[in-house]
Amino acid sequence: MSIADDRDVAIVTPWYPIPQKPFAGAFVQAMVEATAPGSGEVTVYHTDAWSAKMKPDAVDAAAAAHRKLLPRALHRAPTVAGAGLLRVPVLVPSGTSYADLAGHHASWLREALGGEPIPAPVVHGHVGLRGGWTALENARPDARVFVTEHASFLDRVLEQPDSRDRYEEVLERCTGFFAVSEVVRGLLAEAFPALAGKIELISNPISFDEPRPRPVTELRRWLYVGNLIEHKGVQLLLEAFAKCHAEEPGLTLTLVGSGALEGQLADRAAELGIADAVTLTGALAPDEAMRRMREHDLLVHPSRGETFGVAIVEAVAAGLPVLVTRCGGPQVTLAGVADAAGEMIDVDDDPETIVAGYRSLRERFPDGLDLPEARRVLDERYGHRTVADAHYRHWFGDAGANSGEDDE
Amino acid sequence: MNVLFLALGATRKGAVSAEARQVMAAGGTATVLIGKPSGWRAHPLPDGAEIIELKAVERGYRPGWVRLWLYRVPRLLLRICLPGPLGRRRDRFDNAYRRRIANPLDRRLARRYRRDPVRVRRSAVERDVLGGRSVGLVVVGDAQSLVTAAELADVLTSTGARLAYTIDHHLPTTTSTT
Repeated sequence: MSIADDRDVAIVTPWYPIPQKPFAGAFVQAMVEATAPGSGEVTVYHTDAWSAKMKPDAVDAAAAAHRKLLPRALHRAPTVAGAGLLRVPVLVPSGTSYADLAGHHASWLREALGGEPIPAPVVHGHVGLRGGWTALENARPDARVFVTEHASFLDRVLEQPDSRDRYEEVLERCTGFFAVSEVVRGLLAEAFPALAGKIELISNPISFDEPRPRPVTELRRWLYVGNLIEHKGVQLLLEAFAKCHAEEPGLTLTLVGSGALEGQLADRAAELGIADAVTLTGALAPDEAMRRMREHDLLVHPSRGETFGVAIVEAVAAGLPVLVTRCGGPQVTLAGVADAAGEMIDVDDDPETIVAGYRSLRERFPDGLDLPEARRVLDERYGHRTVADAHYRHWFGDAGANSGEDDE
Repeated sequence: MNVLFLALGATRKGAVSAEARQVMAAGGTATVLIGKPSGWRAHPLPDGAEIIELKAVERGYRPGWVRLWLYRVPRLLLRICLPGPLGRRRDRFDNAYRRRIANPLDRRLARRYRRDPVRVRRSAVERDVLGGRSVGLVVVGDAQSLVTAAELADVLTSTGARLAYTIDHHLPTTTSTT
């Protein structure tokens, strides 16, 4: 076991961007990028679920082979901000609960570590069970273990009795527990009222480092960033865009993301006669998605429910006005600056709501908005520096390197 | 970098395809060893990736001594006995010899030399997959490839290739956003 520095940190996560899914775990990568500069050695343990839907004897044989291969096939790779990355394949048989899944993640990380605990004195798990439980089960006895919950499917996790029990154990055992939004904190506080006081709020860090070269002057190029699934309201968005496009033929819509509706949306755009104005890019890496934000004029985010709404804050960071639904997270993330950042609309099943929201925003734009002010306020709330300092206070008991190194 | 992906189960098609694409974009070659081709019909591998079916490689395998004494030596003798202008007659003899003598004899011998399937797989992969490809990295791409990877680990790395679960440490997949 190597000797760990006091400021060494291990991040344990079931999600981290891979070429196939550049968005998966982008918020964990952003957190690493924000916090690594003020930490010692940072190692990300990405426990990557691999489907092992095989007969039981085949699963046993694959597990034995995996154990044999791990010492030779596991390599530390560089990731953001000088951190290291170890991707540990986790064999996941079919039909397991979230609690069982967490058990698989914990045991395969232990295998990867050769039975030794994680050497870092600070271990931070992302997602309560697969990250948090795995972190607790593999940390040194004297390590300080923190957990951040992001999951939008938390309600489904808590519906399973064994998963709920294990979640409670995670909350009890960890040193500190963070939720990325009030929605997540509320869900957990309701499920575990005795432990509600332990749950603090630290948002996902958003980069405000690269503003757009020129401010938005017209609301012509619409953008959506997220999964192309029904829950995100993308079908309504397409219908609403068609109506607006009929009035303003110069409008364009770019849909960044992938999902089950990708083909349907392309077909529907053709039916509506707006195929030339609609672009489906597929999933893009976070850097590329941010670049697209700087090249568009309006982010439309008609989701049915969000715990935080990362894309919305990223859009404001990119100097983009936003048209978003009051779907939970955005009311909190944009609190106090919603009018300065754009327009909020109700969640319903009528595309006319989006159309009306756009018209209202168009009437107020640009003088009725204050995008620089919205950007400044959100940077203070969710910027890398703010989020990193919050982590340093918990991890190391100080104000962190950011405040000491480059105070202005 | 020439990368060999083991993707026998086709349960991580997207991940293997994306990594193969990334290897080729960086100027390398991607060879993908697959199980059943049907598993890839709905999600074909990217253009430019070489696909090898493990079963086909195993089926075509014969030990060196069988290939020499049962096929090469008889053909050489035919060439000596029936030179140039008698080529058509030579081909007829050769075909008849293969059909009536060599192939039936090979099938009988195969019961012995195929008795150990792992040994057959090792030899077949060494000759027909690794031979001439100068593989620098072998990526175990899915859970169904783990057993084969463990069985063949020595062969796969005998030419200096490294074993890995991803291409990360050769071609980092995440870059700084700042």
